[in-house]
Amino acid sequence: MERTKAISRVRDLLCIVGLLILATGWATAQASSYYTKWINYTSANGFPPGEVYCVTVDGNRVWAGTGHGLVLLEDGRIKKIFTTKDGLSGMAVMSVAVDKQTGAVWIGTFGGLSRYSGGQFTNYTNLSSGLANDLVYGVAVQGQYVWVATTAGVNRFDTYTGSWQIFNESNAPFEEPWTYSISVGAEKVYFAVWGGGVLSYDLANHYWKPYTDPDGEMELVLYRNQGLIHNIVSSVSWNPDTKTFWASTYFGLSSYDGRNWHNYLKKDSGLISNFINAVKSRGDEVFACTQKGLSEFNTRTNTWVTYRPDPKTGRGEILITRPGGNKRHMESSTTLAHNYILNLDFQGDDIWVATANGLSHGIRKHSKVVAIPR
Amino acid sequence: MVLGIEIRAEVLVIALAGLLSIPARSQSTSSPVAPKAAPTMPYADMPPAAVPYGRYRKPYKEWFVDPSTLDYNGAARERSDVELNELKTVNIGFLGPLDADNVDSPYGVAMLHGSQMAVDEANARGGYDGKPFALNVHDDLPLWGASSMAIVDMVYKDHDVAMLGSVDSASTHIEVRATLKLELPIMDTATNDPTVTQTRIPWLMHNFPDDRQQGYALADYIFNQRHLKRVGILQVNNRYGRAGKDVFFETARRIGHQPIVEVWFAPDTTDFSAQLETLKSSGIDGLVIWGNASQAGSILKQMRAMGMQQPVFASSRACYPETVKIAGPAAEGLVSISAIDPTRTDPSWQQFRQRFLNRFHAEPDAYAAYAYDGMNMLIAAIQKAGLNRGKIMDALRQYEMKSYIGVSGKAFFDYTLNNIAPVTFARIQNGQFVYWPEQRTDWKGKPVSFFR
Amino acid sequence: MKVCSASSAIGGSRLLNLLAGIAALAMVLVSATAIMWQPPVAKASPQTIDSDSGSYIPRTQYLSPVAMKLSLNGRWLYIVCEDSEQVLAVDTYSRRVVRRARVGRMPRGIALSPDGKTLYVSNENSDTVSEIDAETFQIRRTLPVGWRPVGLTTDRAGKVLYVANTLGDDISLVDLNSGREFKRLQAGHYPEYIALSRDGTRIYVANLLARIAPADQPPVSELTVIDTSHQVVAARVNVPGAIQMRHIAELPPSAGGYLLVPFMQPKNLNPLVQIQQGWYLTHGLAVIRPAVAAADGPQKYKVSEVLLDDIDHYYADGFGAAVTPDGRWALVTASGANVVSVVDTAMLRHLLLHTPPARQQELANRLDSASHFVAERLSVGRNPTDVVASPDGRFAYIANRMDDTVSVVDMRSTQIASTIDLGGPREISRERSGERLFFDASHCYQGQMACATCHPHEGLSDGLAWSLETPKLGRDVVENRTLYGIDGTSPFKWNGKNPNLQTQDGPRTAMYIFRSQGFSSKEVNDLVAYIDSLRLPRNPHLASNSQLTDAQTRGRAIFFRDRTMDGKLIPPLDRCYTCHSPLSHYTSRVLMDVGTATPDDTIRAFDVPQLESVVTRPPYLHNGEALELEDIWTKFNPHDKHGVTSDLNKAQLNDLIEFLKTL
Repeated sequence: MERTKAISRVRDLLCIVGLLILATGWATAQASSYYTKWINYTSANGFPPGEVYCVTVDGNRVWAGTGHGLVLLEDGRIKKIFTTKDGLSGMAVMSVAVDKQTGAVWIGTFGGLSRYSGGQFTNYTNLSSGLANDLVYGVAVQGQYVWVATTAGVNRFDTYTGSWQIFNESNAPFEEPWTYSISVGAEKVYFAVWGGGVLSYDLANHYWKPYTDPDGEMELVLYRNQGLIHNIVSSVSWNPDTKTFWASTYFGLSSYDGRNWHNYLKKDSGLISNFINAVKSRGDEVFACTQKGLSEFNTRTNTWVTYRPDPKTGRGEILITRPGGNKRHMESSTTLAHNYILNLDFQGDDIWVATANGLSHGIRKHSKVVAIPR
Repeated sequence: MVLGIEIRAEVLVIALAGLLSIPARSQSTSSPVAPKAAPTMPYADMPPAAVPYGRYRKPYKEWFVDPSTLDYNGAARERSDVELNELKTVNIGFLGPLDADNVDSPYGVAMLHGSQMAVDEANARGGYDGKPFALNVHDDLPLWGASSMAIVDMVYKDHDVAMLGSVDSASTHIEVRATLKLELPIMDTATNDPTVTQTRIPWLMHNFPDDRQQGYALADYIFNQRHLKRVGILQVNNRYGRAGKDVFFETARRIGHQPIVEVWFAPDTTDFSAQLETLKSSGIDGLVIWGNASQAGSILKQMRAMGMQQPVFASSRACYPETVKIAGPAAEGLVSISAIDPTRTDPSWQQFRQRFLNRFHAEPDAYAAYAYDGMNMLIAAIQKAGLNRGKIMDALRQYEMKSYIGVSGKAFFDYTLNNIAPVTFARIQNGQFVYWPEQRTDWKGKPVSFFR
Repeated sequence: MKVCSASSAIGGSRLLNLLAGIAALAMVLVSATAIMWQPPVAKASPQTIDSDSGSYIPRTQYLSPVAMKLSLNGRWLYIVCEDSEQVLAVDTYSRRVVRRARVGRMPRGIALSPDGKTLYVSNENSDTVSEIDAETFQIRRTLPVGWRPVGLTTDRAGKVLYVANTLGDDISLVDLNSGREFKRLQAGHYPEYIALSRDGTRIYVANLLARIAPADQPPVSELTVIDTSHQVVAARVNVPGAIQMRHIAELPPSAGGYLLVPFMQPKNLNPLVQIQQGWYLTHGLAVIRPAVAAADGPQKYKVSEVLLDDIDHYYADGFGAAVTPDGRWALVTASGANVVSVVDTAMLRHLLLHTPPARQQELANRLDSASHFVAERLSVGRNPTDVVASPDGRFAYIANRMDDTVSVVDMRSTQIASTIDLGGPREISRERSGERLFFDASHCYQGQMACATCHPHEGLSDGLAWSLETPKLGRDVVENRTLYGIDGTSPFKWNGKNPNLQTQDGPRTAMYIFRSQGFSSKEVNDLVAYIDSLRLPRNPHLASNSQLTDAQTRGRAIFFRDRTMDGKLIPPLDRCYTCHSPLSHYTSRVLMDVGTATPDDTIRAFDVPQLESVVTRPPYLHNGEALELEDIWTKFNPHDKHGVTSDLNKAQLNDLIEFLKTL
């Protein structure tokens, strides 16, 4: 009996050790796998020139909003470039959301909101619908509702009843009405408000909650983890795996898990730039789309990896900052289309990245990269 | 006092070093601009006494104080230039309140006149490589958000290479946010709101004295030079009033003279008796008005009629003859900020004034003068950089930590491309405005010199 | 200064005095009642007035069969009767009614589960579907769906029910295990009938009305295609120039696999006087074919249009469509002509395949082509609606709504074999007589149109602008108007020239619209009685307890306000409720100039339309220029002549519209 118990304990111990070894190995493998293969879509291969403002993955389809219309890619090939001639509400496409339930694609443009369904566009504008403003920065689908972030507040459009509701400083705690992006969680919807911090809307209880810069000043950050790092929030991303929302600003990166705030600046992390256009997070991964490259932060390993074309050579550059500030520099043969990053979305293990000069498809590889000491 | 002098001296040295070290940026490369000098002066040349938390803690991070503030790493410079041969005109957008029903239209019309004059004079000099500049004018109409799309139309329909506007800070904020995406250089010559340039958007340049400079100047004057203690604020309840009084209020609070009462009024208010009763019963020894000239005139008239003889101070929109016209003798003694000194005798101003008078049969005001200067800066940037919007933005950024002397006076631009030059004061004496340059103290009563 | 004009010749000052008097009176009345006013509640069930006693008596209970399904073996014919609110089962052997089940209000559509054991009946006025045991005729469940459901079908597995919600412009997808709607797909405009494709991969939805579009452009209707595997909208097929698509029939692959959908093709911008030259309103079939698509591309559809009319006689108001199992025959009911056209599908296919591509578009306007493919014209009962073909191909059954009968066609001889009497009342009430006239196109020159042609779904506006008043092209184009709830809203027409419906439907209709001898005076009275009986549908925007939402409450305050947002007094004639008085169906019943006249209009002032159910009948304004309610103020009220609205912000305008939707 005792022997059996002992054997059982040893077996348990071996199992635990084995699991630990596996976990460590997995973590190491994760830490050493990078996006080293990049496929770029630029004007050189038929993609619209200039900025790609947003990218949204829908299965094997990828929607990219540009300054010259909406691009649909299927299985990595450009299928169609939609413009106002096709019925799109505006040429500058800022956001795309796919309604997984209905298949409808909602498109926020500088010209209103469009719905693409069954090959046809239906447009909603400030003059002909309840849309608060035609400068639409963000759009998201939440059940039967479509949330729209405009320069004059947030809209909630009920696709069942056709009713439009406007939320702005008159009926919600908006310090400013300029809303940039939306992230839908199971219980709350989060909004990035340009100059107004982050707002959340509780779906069950219908109340708003603001998260603003506690120092109240535009020109400084008083304490490192003071709360939201700055009120000029460019995007927000709810991570359902870690129950944390991330907020990107032009003055650093913030996260809030319901109890604690963590802020990140170039000076205290591996963030490549404090000017961040967008943030996207899932699992342990956080991607900050900065104006100097794509910075990835792994919250479990506390490691930062930045991808960008080397400003001097144009070759692929991978900058790794490990906990404690240990930095490594690597090169890859391919890299992002441009170092000014505007947006990102996940496709399985791959990422699609909107840059100032084309769309990039990043493929994570465990392949060898050349480490160059600096 | 000693501290103040030391800081001023330090600022002066560093600023001069900054001026000398500004490199001539390459107009053709897409590589990031090389780092410039280390941090220089306090943001907005902020008085030490007005620094937020300045008495308690050094901030973890300060913004807007180094040359990387407006760093731009986008692809605008890589865009192919517009083919000049394909153009009939080189287009510049204009957004301003022009409809007569808009209360801000006097400012908008003056702004348009100033812009138009600069454009016409540039065209008389040969335009851009022989092609005339043309203004595409958009009315800043608030109804149903109509003007929000102006900048989109400027880029996609008008094919403008830059724009000038607007007066309303909310409209300007909307354009600023849009231009971060659309990348059209904006010259803002009329907005008071200091938050417009606190956005780190390199596409915006702002040359009108903002509420920070006005607020600092008024606070210094009222508390350090006039030694008032119990000041009340009466502000118009719109974005101009709300944003404007904030800097004054915060500065006063930080130096230990928190205003004892704040009262607001609706933009169309004509009877201020309720507000004035509140102020009167509060025992104020001075009143600050953040509103326009007609409002200031009515307030003065009514408060004097109520027997309130406290000194009154006002923001720059009160510095118009309309104040005197409405208030009459009750306007005597009003001290307001003025965005310009129209009594200057230098040839630049006088010649501009005369040309403006000849053409528009009206005296140029601050809005006309700053628009004229701003448009000239835009045109010069276009002349220098070509028709690439990114390169035009680069050319404008060369004004960082530099002065520009125009008809409105001498501007000085900080790292946010905001004009932080000293303001002008005006006092109504014998029915006329009398002007004098801001003479700031070290916040302990002793005068200091401006480095700018 | 706002100008009010009346139809009679009144001098300017007298006119203004009259207007001022009316306005003042309205003001007093409105002020006195506005506080007491409560949102409207659902109307009571239809009643009629006994012409002799003047007292209310229950309306005669007709059946009005409108939709049918056959059991899988063809033995039982299930018939939905909209007026009696029943489903009947007819034994096709004995041709007698053998079962009845009471369902919800105004049942309009029917579906049969794939195993044949369950019937689903849509109840348009209840916003529900009744689930019925096909054998026992017991109601199993009542399933809530969207607004005013009509067409419905299950998927091939019988797990999901697709329901076309006409007023919601959408499709409810109901999980038949739980009975819960789990998603809603946006359709086109007024989706009415729906069909599952033969291979089960697609749901086709025919939208009755065209997309809301500028009045000076031809209508474009939509056939919505739903992918049943992903349950998403796969395509929105444009059917140009057509409106009022109804039942969908699909030919078997061996016969081409075409979809056949009846439609009407209006020439609404041509002056209506041209009706006497023919070819003004034509009726036909949209023939929609899945086109060859790239291997990985979305399915494309090719649309052809053919007319079922003859050169000198028209078959108005196509409604039902069915094909025999072998695909040889297609049957299309002309509900306004009391005829079923029997189409030889091989000939139709031949015509389509042998018409050069360059001439395909002409087919939609060729009145001589029907003779190539219509094999028979069978006279049936009044107002034939649905048609079904038996599984063995022997018979086809046609529901004659206005006769309460079913016509049986022997498909071997393609002749009427018999008529099944469903047992409706023998006596014909005044309203029923009027209703028959309403659907009957024989009163029109060449049978081109009935009242129902432009007022489909028993009184809707068709959403089109029509050139009614003048022979001049492009002049005085006016938007069609609803017939629901118009009792008490006289005068009629946008120019207010018709003081009552008797005038509207009498000589003027004969002279200007039908170009015929017109109705007798009795017929006119019957027709008016019927139109007066058309009630407003329940308004789903208003909660069942009439409690307004916060937004609706704020909007109500704006509607009834007399001061601008900054406190200035609004002149009485610039207030919403002065002209749209709640005391009189939200209309002052006078002509008003609200600044909407265009250079193409002869007059400046127009009849103030009632606002009840206004949300359900876009576009707006006299000429249909305002495609959405918002447009009325954002685009067509620059000088605040159509009420003071320039002081409102966008959120307040939204609130006002939310309130208007409740009316």
